[in-house]
Amino acid sequence: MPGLSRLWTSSCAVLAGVVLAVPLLARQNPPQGDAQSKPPEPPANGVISGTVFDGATGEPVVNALVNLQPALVTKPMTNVITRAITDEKGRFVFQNLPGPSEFTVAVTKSGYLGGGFGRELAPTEALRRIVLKDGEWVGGLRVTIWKPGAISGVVRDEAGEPAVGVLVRALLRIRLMGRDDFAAGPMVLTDDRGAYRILGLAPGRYYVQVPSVQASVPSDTKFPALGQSLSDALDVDESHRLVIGRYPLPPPPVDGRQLAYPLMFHPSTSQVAEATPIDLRYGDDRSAIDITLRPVASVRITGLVEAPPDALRQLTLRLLPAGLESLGLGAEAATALVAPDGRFTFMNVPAGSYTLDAPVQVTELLSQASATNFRRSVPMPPPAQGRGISWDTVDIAPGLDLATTTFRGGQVGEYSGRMPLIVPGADLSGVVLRLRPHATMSGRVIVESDPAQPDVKPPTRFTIYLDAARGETHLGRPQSSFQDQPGEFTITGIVPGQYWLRVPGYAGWVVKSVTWNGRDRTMTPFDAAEAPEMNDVVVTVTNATPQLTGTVRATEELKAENTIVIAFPFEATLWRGTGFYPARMKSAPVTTTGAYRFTALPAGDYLLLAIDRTHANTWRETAFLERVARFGTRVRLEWSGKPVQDLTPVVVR
Amino acid sequence: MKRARAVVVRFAAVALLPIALAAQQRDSAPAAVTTAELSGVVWSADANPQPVRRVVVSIAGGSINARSVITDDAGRFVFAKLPAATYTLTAKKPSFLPAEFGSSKPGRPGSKIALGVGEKRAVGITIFKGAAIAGSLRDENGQPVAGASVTALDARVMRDPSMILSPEAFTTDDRGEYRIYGLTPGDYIVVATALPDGSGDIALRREVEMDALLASLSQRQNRAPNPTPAVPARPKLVGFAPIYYPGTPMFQDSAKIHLDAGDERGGVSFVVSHVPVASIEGVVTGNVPSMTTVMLSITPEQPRVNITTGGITASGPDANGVFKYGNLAPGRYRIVARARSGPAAPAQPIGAGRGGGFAGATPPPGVAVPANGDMLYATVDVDVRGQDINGVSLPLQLGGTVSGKIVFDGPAAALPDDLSSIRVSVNLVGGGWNASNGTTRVGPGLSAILPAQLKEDGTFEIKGVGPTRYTIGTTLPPDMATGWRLRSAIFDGRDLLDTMIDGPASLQGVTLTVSDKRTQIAGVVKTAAGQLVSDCYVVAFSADRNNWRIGSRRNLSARPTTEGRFTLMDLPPGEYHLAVLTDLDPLDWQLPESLESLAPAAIKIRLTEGAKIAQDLQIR
Repeated sequence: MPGLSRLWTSSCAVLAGVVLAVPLLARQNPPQGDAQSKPPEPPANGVISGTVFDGATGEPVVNALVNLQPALVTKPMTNVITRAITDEKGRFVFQNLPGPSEFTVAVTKSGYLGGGFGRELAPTEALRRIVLKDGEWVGGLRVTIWKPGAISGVVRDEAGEPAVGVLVRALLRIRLMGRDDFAAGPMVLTDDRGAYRILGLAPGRYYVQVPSVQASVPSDTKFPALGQSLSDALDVDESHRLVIGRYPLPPPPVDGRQLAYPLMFHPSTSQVAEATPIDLRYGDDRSAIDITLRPVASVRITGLVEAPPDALRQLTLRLLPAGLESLGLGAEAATALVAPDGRFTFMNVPAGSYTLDAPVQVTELLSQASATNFRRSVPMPPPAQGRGISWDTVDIAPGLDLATTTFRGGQVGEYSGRMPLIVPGADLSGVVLRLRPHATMSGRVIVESDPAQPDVKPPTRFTIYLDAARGETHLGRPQSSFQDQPGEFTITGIVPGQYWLRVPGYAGWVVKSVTWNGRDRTMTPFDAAEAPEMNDVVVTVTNATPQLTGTVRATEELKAENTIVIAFPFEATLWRGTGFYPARMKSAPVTTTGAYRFTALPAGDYLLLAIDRTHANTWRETAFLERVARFGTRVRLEWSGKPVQDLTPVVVR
Repeated sequence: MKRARAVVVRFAAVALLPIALAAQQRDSAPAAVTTAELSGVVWSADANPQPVRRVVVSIAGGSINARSVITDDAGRFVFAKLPAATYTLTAKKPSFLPAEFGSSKPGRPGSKIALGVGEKRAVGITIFKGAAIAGSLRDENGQPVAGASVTALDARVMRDPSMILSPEAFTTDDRGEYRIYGLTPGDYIVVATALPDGSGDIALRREVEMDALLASLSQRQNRAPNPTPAVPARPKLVGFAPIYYPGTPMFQDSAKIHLDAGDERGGVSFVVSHVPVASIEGVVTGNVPSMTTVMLSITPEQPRVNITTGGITASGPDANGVFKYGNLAPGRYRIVARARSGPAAPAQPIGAGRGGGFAGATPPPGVAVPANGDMLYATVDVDVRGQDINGVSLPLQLGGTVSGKIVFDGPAAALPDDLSSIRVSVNLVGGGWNASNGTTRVGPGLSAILPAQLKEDGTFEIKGVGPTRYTIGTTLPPDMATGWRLRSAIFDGRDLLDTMIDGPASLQGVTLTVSDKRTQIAGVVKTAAGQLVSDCYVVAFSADRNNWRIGSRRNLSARPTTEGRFTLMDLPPGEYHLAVLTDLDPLDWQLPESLESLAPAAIKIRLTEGAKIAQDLQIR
């Protein structure tokens, strides 16, 4: 693979140019009376150029939109066009760039996943910074863009008729903290021929499903004006209506017995364990992934939710099939709106084993937006009117977001519950779900500013986030209130579970220590079942983070630019239960000069390794760390320290 | 163009009880008796109709809650236990067009069913398959354009680009292919937009240009220092604009696609390429204390499918009144400037619209918004064709004034004592929509004019009428609003309620008449043999050709009930044509050429103020 080609201008030549230019300009522009006028600066002369290639085929890509972003500039950028379209040979040129500076280059093209310089292996890699000296031409950059995979097919019902306008979704198999789980992938609608095409898929193992949520409400439920028209609900009996939306219409009753289409996986099973997975690489186009819907007998489930009245307000129960418990809206087999007295009825439920969930809000992992920029969303459980979705990338798995949807509206009591439920082949009654109260946490935030950065003002307030230590999505990501006074924090709505405290939103700031009840809790997660109210928690944050730098030396087997540097705790017990935002497990890209830098690790004992970038998505798994730990370089990081550690890449087989 | 035909009325293909029968059943039945039943079959619209399974049929009417059921494999549905009432039946199935019982064509209104106590009626509903348009988009290199938004627009937008549309948008997949389905019959134009993220200029260099540039850069590096660094030629700037089938950014050049029910039109493929963008530079002049308070807005003349600023950049006006718009795709643009002639007030935070006339638009952040003085306007139309345009002039002029008085045509005793709550308003036609992004504002740039309060002597004055069309109206207090309505707005012998106001004209002496009298035209539609007809449409339109316009208040249509009875309420006094049609497109029937063809066969009637006329009509 050709490396960078650097075209050095001779620095003398540049200097001579500047010296000669000044008297030249002085002759052309006689001073206007004011003898103090400075000679105008010569226009910036730096150039960055390169070619965009398709990562899978290696062919140059025409009509890609290349975006130059300044990462570090010491002079203003005037009259610089920072977006360019590649020519027929995939080439781009950016001129008039000031130096010394650092830039990144990102590239987009519709139909492709976002690429850029530094993304030679995957679109999720960090963009590599290009270091530009004054007047330098950094050319020959190889910028990679990736064609995602696509899955297409037809959805039909048991009579062979196409299922029109129904949602089809891809679920991505993920491995997180030693567990196999699912992240929700893109979703599309079938057209009038029942045909669908899911695009923008990163490589991985996918399961294609047709969601089918039997959403029932009492017949007298008032529907809000927006969204629900009268023909979007079916009357299944005297007192309940089944709301239909973008899910397959249930078949008409047979002999007075209501049937249901269960959620269906390709090729034609409602059990994810029996579904046929599809393994995709970049550019793969898998067609004829058809799904046949088959109706099954269904039953009614009635029961009672035990909780205070305000916890029952607008409460929608969810019945999640086995294997899909960590997914959000659309993964359910059925939902039911709970009446004010706590009674509920699920209509039209296929037999099977489920988890019954009574949430305040719903959280899941999403595989990041596809190349088509369009995320179709599932209908909300009726009669919800609006929804709020907040999401953030998780650090533990590149390409995944943790997304929380709230739809209950208004003030709801802080109670929730989950329990397993086996649904037999006949109606089930007398199910009781007892909700547990949520915990609260409050305390103070102590800010220790870095004495070495006197000009940096700390943010006026820090939002504290609770990070589910074992990666359970249904715990969500509770955070402290925006109404808190500076220096204090309160967090409500904490579902019983284990959590770390984090401050992920503030570049350069990390949690230094956490104490509670006089004991140091920095390295032990909080268990919200310990106490319903965890008060007087003291969180100390600081930006005096160790600045760990170094250079990766190239070897015969591995060039510096093909590596990433990983840092993880020396103490092996800290490799598990790290949460979605592990504070002590980070990776750093390597610049065009082989340099790396960590600025966000808390003080402690670490192992450092430079490894092949191909491991970028898998290195955090405990099994991998156990294999490589003995090749790591041990480094002790202190607050405000500036250690330097050069590394030689380690090849992991 | 649809011509009205007064021919034999077609009935639905399945057994329908004679309409007259239902009339006998309507004595008052106690609400508790729920023994009626409405059932039937949903049929396809083919030459040989087939029953359609899995259709959601819904019933609404009377005192019952709306109900829905699904047809079985024989297309059957049943609604049992109904009280006697008048019902509407609708049928929906994805990929088919929504249907209503009694509607002969998709998009036409249906007729209601009057069900008597304990009556069991069977009906048929015909459901039509939606039409589809499909194709693929390529760029100028022949590569597929993925992720572009494609919509099929009602072709009528070509004669009225200011129609605000919100059709469903479909996205091209990674092969550049799209499929739009579920379309009602009609004429369409197809438009595709591929907007990239980010903002700012985009440079485009083709291979030859790139070779030359790289060569010159190499030379510069390799030879002796050059005292004057080379200033490279500026590359061509391009942008992304909506492209209309068969491949033009000018919507006036788009090709119409005609679809009948269930048509499948494939191969609607075209090239979606960049367009050359250019800039407009000009100067605003006028009597304002500071040019920086002038608000500018730009409107591209094209169908408004997505209301965004679309990459247009704007700057100015600066203290000298100089402004510039950049990144403009080819097309015609209208630029509107407005300002107040009064002194500037201290800068107010965005949204503080008290007392000013800026309701409906936000001033640029931090700009001082003058609070007094008269409203000044300037407008100019500019054609952009890929070349920069300089020297555009926007001279600000005073807006118009509308003033006059209100008279009341009705018993004085019925008037409330306090008339100060009556408002007279002059309203923009087409709304004051806008989209903004930083300093760029796209939209007609005109704000709503605040309504004027009626003065004690019954007069009113409204200032600040801008260079566009307005309608005039009144807002009556709640106790008047039920019985009284604005009947006419006479100025110089014409009624402004029929003609609208062309700003920035000044109109003094407008007389508004508010009346409590209501007109009505009612009757039955019969065949020559005396049989009552309900499967038809009754229309009324002005006998004065000057009023022949889509949306005129003198155009009214109604469907008779199942007993053949129609009612047309509240037409303003005047002379009218009354006609019966077997088929009616809600918009097209109002076209002047349609009315021209209806007039000869129509009955002429005169409606005076408060008249209630009985007029039966006959279908030939």
